[in-house]
Amino acid sequence: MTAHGVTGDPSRSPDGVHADPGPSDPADGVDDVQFRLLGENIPILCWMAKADGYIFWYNRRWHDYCGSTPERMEGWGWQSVHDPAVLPAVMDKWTASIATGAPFEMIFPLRGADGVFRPFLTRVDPFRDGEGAIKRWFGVNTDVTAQLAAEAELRLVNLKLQTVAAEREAILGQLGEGVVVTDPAGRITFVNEAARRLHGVARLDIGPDDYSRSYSLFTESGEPHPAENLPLTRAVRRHEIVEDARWRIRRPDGSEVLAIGNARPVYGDDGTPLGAVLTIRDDTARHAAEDQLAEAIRVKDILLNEVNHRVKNSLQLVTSLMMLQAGKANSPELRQSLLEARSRIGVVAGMHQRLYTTEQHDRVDLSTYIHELSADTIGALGGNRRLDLNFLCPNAIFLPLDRAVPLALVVSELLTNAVKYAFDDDGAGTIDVAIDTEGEEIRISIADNGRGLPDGFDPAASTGLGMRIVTALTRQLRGTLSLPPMASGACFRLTLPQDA
Amino acid sequence: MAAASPPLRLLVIEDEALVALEIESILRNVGYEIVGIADSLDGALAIASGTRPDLALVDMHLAEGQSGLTLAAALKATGTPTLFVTGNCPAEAGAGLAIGCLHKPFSDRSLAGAVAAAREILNGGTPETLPIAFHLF
Repeated sequence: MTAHGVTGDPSRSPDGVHADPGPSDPADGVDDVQFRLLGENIPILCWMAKADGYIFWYNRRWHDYCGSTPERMEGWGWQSVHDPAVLPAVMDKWTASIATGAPFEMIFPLRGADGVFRPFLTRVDPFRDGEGAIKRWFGVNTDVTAQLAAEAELRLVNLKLQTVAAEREAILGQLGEGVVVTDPAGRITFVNEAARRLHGVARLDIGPDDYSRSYSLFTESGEPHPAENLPLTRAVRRHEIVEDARWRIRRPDGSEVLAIGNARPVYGDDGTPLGAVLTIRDDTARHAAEDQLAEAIRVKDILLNEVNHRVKNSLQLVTSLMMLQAGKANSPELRQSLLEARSRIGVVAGMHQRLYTTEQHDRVDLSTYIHELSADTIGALGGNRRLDLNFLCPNAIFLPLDRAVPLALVVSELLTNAVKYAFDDDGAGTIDVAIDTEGEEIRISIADNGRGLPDGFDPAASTGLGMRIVTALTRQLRGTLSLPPMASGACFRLTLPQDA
Repeated sequence: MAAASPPLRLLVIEDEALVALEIESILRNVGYEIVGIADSLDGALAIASGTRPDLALVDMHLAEGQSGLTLAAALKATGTPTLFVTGNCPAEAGAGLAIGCLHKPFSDRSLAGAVAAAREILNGGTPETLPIAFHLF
């Protein structure tokens, strides 16, 4: 810069050249007419200066924006529409460009006609002659208010996104539950801390076909997990919601985790698939507890089997002793009594035998037991009689032992009664045993086509031991015993609640 | 051992029907009168109010999950003394509710002996000997 010092006011330069900026200046060999025509019609602010920085022309848009006149702006008048706080920096930079010939670029505020400063990106380039000497400066000022606002907005949005992401990271990191997120193709984009701990690894950018291998996933039975039915694959590829799926994870350190997890696809507001989320819990401890419980139950089963077996053996011993005693009896009556007692104890022993030969330890299937009891009783006590058994029981009926034993004793007494007393010693007949449930009641009837009961027979008033046992145990079972009228023979009908 | 006249009138409360029949049979054989057999609290109190027994033999475990202790307290309120006959002796909890406790399983002799000892106490005396598996509160 030769004509103007940075400290002076170049507009007041006495240099006469500046006072008359014609449309063309043959003096320096530049024709500005075409540029002016162009400049008047573009929507950005532009201007031309001489080599020393003296601005001799502004386009219309400049004056429209600044509300200025060519006279006020000419030369260095433009300083009046600058922010005084920024102006020194603009001057430094502009005078430096004039001095060195370097292009100028800067964003600074320009005051509009409305008094409002708006940021303008300003670029000024030199135009040189054939020898490289600067002849003109061409300047353009572009209003970047909207651009800066957009950039500011973008920064704010980015900041918010970063905050949301940081929050999500913190929340998911804090969770005890493992979380794995995928993109729409199923490639893993996020693994939280708990999921990393569960797997012992956290590999990103893994697709469904590589889940099993990358994360060492196995089925519950220990086979490598097929990709197609892993919960995350099902959520991504088949858009399924998967709940409480179970699988095994083998960590790099060799330890194994029994996992239980849920997966679901994720959709955008418009329904486009965004990927899938998998949540995983460590179910190992609960599994172990279940295994322990199953083992405890197994041991208990063994012990109960053992107890029932021993009880049955002891009762067997008792019946054997009674058999021996009966063999030594002097009178037929005593022998008969001992054999009856032996048979009653045999009923109880049979119950315990049934308990340990079936899976049940505390309940018996009444139907099969009474069927066998009926057949045995007829076989053992039938003597020379030709007796047929009709047994009818449509359903299995289970009763707990403390009710099954008294019931079996009652049925045994009634059967014994029928076999021994309903028919002639060498006669023939039929015994019908029927068991059924109706509502909450169990109904058992024992009928024969024999000679029938004595007139006015009342089991409760009977002094015979058999009927006393029947009466007492029926009461204990909260049951009732009735004698339905029969055309021929006799029938005892026992009705008792299923649960008492 | 024979009971002196007039025969002691007994109420048997036992939830196992066959055990009740056994107790009845043993005590009848030695001369006691059994006024009734019950297996529940309500059943026992109904018989007791109708028959005013001299002594109730009470099992600790009754039908419908009821406790012999509850029954003993109810019987005491109606003036009927109790003797526990049970496999689950209530120990101190029975003190004040019953004369004593005969532990199951019992023999014919000890059952009859326990009732005889109770009778002596009810008559204001002190039994000289107590049967095996029997103790006073």
